[in-house]
Amino acid sequence: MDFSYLANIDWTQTGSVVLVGLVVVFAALIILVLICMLLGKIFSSISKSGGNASKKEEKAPAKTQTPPAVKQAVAPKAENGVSEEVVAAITAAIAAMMGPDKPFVLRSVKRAKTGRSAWNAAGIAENTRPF
Amino acid sequence: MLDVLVKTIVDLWVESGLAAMQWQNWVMIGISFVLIYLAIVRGFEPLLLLPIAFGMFLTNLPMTEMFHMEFFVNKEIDFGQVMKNGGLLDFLYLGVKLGIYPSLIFLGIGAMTDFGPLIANPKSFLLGAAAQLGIFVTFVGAILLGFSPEFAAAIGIIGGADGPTAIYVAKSLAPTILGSIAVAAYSYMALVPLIQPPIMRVLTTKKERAVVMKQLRPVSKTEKIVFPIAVTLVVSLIVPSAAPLLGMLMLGNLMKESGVVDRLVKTAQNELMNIVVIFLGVTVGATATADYFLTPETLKIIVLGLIAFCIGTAGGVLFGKLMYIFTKGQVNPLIGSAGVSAVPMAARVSQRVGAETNPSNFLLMHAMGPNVAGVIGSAVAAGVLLAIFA
Repeated sequence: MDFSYLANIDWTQTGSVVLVGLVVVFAALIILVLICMLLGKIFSSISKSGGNASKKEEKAPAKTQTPPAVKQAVAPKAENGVSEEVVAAITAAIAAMMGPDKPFVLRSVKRAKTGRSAWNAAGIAENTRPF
Repeated sequence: MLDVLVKTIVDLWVESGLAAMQWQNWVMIGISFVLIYLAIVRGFEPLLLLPIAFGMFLTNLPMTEMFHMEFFVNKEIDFGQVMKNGGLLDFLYLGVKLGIYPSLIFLGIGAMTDFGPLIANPKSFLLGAAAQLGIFVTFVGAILLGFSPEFAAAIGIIGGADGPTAIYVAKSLAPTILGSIAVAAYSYMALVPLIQPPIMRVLTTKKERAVVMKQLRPVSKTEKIVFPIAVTLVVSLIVPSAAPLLGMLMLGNLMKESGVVDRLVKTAQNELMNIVVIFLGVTVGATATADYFLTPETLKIIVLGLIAFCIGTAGGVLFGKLMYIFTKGQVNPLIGSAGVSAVPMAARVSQRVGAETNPSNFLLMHAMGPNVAGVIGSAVAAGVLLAIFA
């Protein structure tokens, strides 16, 4: 093997590529970290202030109205074809996502619309044909 | 009469591919068959490896004139020559050479990626940056093995563990070894579950591996919409040459998160992505002609690629250890290894190794943060290398 090329390696260039590369990669991603943290702070403060406002509104009438136990007894309005088991499963899923300390009431369950009507589909086909 | 018959048969023989076959062609066809076997039977990244292997098979059949590597070895493409004498794969290869396919693949990846875990824990970005160490260490290694700086940069990017990024850099800096680089990158990505765990176990203690991380905060839709725009703005201003890859990645993600262009998202995720994968795979495979693939360089590239993956993994895990120390044990260092992109395989490996120590520990979502940060990190690293050498 001929290793004479080793003498010709430009170490200044190699070193500077490694250094510049790592510094730029870290710098760019550190800036993104800061931006993400800033965004997180801004949005959490917005949602907190929004949440506080709605809590205050809720608190006042709650004292005079019927206790929450009665509210929960009201069965959620479910569409035809949505069985009680499905409503129970949906309620459980929401409860799991919300956590134990956030009470909620499930008021209605509607089936999401799937597909388009024939007229709707025909209209879209007509409009998008030129593309 | 007999003379004419013999002459016809001789002419037919001379014109046929069989007469032009050399041993190198047979070897390359054999290699392509091995890759086809690995893709179909062993399931090694079959979506890409199968078209790559078949492209390799086609390009090594003599006289078919489907692909001419010599058209593309220079920095400037002679479009007139391609139009006049080009074969099917020459035309399709223009999409690689002009950087169209990798960017379109990134569009699809963006439309499939959830940056939520990264937004919820932005510190993961640092792990995505640390895992790019493999790229730069391998760059030095390749120079020590006698490669030119341009080739060394293209080989180093294998450590980014991101196929489209590796192809995007190699097509500009080292078109003659594109085939070897792509094969090495995709093979090692398929081998991530074998390569990473031993390194992760060696570099961490049992106590560190058992760390259970705090649940991630929920991320609002507005944050998810602002994120791709902010990342594109910041990265494109710092490293403009990373803009084609990152811009498309973030466009795909914005389309997904906005929720208003469902049809476009479906196309980007499925039809467009699949079409581009076929073109990209078959043409990248086609660059692996015997003249350029059957060289000692290919072996060196395969070894260097493995080193790049190992050092990238080690870089991520070691930085994870650093974060473990600074956060007083809140970060599990195992998520660092996911910083080498290879989405979502590397994150799954973090989950698996973590679960070995503590079966009730779910690291997957925590590892997805560094994992998607690694995609951004390797695109930035690619941009830096292109800015220096292209």
